[in-house]
Amino acid sequence: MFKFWSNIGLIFQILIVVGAVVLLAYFDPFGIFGSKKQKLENTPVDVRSIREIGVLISAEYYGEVLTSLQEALVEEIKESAVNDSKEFEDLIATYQQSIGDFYERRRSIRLGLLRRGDKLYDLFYHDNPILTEHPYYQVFIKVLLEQNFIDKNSERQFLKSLIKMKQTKVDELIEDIGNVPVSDFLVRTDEELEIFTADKKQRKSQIVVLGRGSVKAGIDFGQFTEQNFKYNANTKTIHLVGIKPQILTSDINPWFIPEKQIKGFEIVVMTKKASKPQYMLKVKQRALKKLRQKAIQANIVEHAKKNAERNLQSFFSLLMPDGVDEVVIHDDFLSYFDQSFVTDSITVDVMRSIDSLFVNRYKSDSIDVVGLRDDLRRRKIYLRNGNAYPINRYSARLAMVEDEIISEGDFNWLASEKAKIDESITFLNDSTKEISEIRYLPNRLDSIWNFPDKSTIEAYSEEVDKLYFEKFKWYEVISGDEDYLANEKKKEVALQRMIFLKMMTARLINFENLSADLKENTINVVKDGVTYTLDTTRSQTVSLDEGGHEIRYQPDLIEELGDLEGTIKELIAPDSSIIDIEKLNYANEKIELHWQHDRENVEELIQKMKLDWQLQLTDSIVKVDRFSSWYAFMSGDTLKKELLEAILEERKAMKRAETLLDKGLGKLKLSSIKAANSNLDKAWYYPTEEKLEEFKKKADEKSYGFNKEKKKINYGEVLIQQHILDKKKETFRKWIFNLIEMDFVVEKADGVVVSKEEGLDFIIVR
Amino acid sequence: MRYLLIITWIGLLIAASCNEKEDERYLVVSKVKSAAKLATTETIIDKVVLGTQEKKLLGFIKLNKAYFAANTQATILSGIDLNKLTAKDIVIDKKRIEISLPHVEVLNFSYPFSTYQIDSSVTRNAFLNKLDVMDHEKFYMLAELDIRNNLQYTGVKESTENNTRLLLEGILKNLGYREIYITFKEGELITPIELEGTIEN
Repeated sequence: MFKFWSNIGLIFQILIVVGAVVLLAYFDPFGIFGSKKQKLENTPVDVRSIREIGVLISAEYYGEVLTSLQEALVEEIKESAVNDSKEFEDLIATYQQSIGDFYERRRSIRLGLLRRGDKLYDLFYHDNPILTEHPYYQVFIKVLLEQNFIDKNSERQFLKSLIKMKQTKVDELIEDIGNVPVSDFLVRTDEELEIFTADKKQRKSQIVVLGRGSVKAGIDFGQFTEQNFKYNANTKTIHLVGIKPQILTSDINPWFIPEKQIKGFEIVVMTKKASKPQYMLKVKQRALKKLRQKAIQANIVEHAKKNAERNLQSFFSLLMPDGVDEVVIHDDFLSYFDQSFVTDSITVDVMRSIDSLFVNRYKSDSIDVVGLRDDLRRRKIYLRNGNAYPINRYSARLAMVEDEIISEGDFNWLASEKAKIDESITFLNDSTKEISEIRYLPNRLDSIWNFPDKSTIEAYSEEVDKLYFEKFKWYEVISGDEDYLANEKKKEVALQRMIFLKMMTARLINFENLSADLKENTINVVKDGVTYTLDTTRSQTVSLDEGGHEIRYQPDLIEELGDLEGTIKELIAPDSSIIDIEKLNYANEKIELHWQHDRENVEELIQKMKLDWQLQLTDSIVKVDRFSSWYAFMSGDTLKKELLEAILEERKAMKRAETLLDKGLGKLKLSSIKAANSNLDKAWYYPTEEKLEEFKKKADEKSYGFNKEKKKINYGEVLIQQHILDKKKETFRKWIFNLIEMDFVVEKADGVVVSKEEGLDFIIVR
Repeated sequence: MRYLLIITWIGLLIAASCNEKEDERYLVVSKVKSAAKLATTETIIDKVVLGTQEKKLLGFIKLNKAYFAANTQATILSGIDLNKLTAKDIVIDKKRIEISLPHVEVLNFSYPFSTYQIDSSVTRNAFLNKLDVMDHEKFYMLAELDIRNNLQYTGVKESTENNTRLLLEGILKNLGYREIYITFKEGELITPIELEGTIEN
């Protein structure tokens, strides 16, 4: 016992050492006592889903950010302040509107109520449930009252005084409320921030982390369809329309580069108090947000767009033998169309795409659609004839003008469309007819193009209010009295009817404009399977019958094509193989006119001209060719000025055709390609069946991708017209050489006869 | 006895100073890089992170085990790197095309912390062996490596090849090709990682 007490000091010291070791082991500031070893158990890697996607990553940002718990928490409070600001901004606007409406209603409120603030208060709350049930509404009113923006002690008193105010005062009050700074309502947030930053405990809880990760941007082809892909073979440009380069992923993983053991989150400081998963989560969230912001500041999205354009150009160049010169990404159809507007006029095809885009996107992006519509309204469609057409609901239907043919299908559509509009307008004007009974009501295109503007609707609304004005007691309004509700329904239906009528009337005007355009431009009319050619009098020959619903044709005014066959047969008659200039000119004129509609007979005539016909000149007989009519301008060895003019005219025409055909595919409409050569040229040099077969094969090989059939037809036509042009050039050159060989003099415009040399210069150079 | 105490403290200080590792820092250059990676497949993977932490006193006296469990999810984008496609890899003969595509690979590996759900019914500390946030991080690191190393067995490669083939065939058909032959070059889906030593704090 004595020994124990004599060694008590030693025992005490041993206990101190053991205690120190245990304490150090527990807190382990140097990590020597307790080496921790984490071991991961074998758990499976479960594939939850594998899904097909189409994403092009075209820009990658790798970065590092430093962030702390303090920063994350401060940011959280600030973010909630931003959200609150938006809420209060909305509240101010709604409150202004509600106060204005409530004041307007004062005439329909019983006099007794005006003296009772509590009833007015109930009525205001009943009328504006969205406003008054807003979680911030009471704070909002409290601030307005405290800061004397509304000059009373309570909301009840304020509403009572409001009803008795003059209109000018109410207007001033509403304006004043609109001028209240939103910051006045954000007292709570400021207080929170002050408390937070002053909190010492909070300052001791600290985590500082270095976050390393990546942000990747590019294009998501998820919603991509054929509609989004436009290829211009002429300029070798691919347009990817309606896709937005965007940030696709932003990640800070546990590992940044696992191969080099570089961590995603490097914890620089972590105090014991802050070592909680929820705090770490906040810091990580903040780090990821900062990384994303840094990537945005480094213009990752713009880089992604440029890189994608460049990379896709290389990719498609590898896949397409002709190569691709450029790939252009358009964020929206709007931007694509904008570019089309600059480079070309708006075509009917583009208009069709716009209509389909409108219908598809109106529900989800009505603001964009309305913006594009307003932009379009300022523009025009230019057709081949150079006429400009303002853009409206029926612009896509201008295809009929472009084709220059009103087919039977077009006839039927026009007739049914007119009938629909007429029926709709008649029934909408008939108040005995229920809206639900009306078969044809405005559709989405009408809503897009012809929905009345705000002021018109307000005017209609006022009209309806006057028309169905009835005084109701306050309790009838609150309790939803049957008569009150029925009256409200009547108003609603009447307003709807007026809006519908406005849209259908606008549609009728658009339709009439379309009809007028058709009258102006249509060359061919197909009716009952017969094609009628309209010539100079065409504007009078197609008209919309005012009483009826269809486009009518007037055969008596149409050029006398009925005798077409006879005219040609007469020219082919066997006794006329030696002809004079007059007959040749007559034949050429008929060929020009009839080529398109009686090709069989015209071809027979051309064959006869080529094989049998001989032209009787003053002292000789020559074979007939495409330019034989020029003999009329030759008198002995004198070339008349008309011949020189004719030569120059032909040269210009050939140059024009050459330029046009050089534009190639894609850029030109079929009708434009067909118009490269005149009917006379076509008749003289139209390819043989074998040639046509050959062209067909070539066109087949050349055409691929989207709109293949259309490309094939266009390319085939280019080959045909090119063949005609080449043959014509051949004959033309022979003529010029023959002229040069001749010993001639030239009669110039002023009647002066000049030498061959000067004439040659004229022929060759000019 | 006084000497014993002094020796103990000196020993502790020496041990502590020996334990201090050289602070390694890595330079991360923040920069936007150009890429041309066509991702055709998105794979979502569930991973239960189940781990134990053993603590030993002075490196050899086994104290006890703490347990950690969390449900996590990873999202992997895989496809091909178009920059690796060259003119030599493509043979075109009229309407026939042969393409030898680059090997499919993981284009983006995402193991987002927002998906981590700690399972509190399993996770528990032990005496003198408390799991802190840094320990959690180490488990996530180990789990990430486990997912990466096991990816090759999940069928992602085959699915990605199929999806890429389908996508390319669609494009090529639209470009007018009628005979399409697509093959893939050989290559790793993802580089396997062997962790050397332990994860340092």
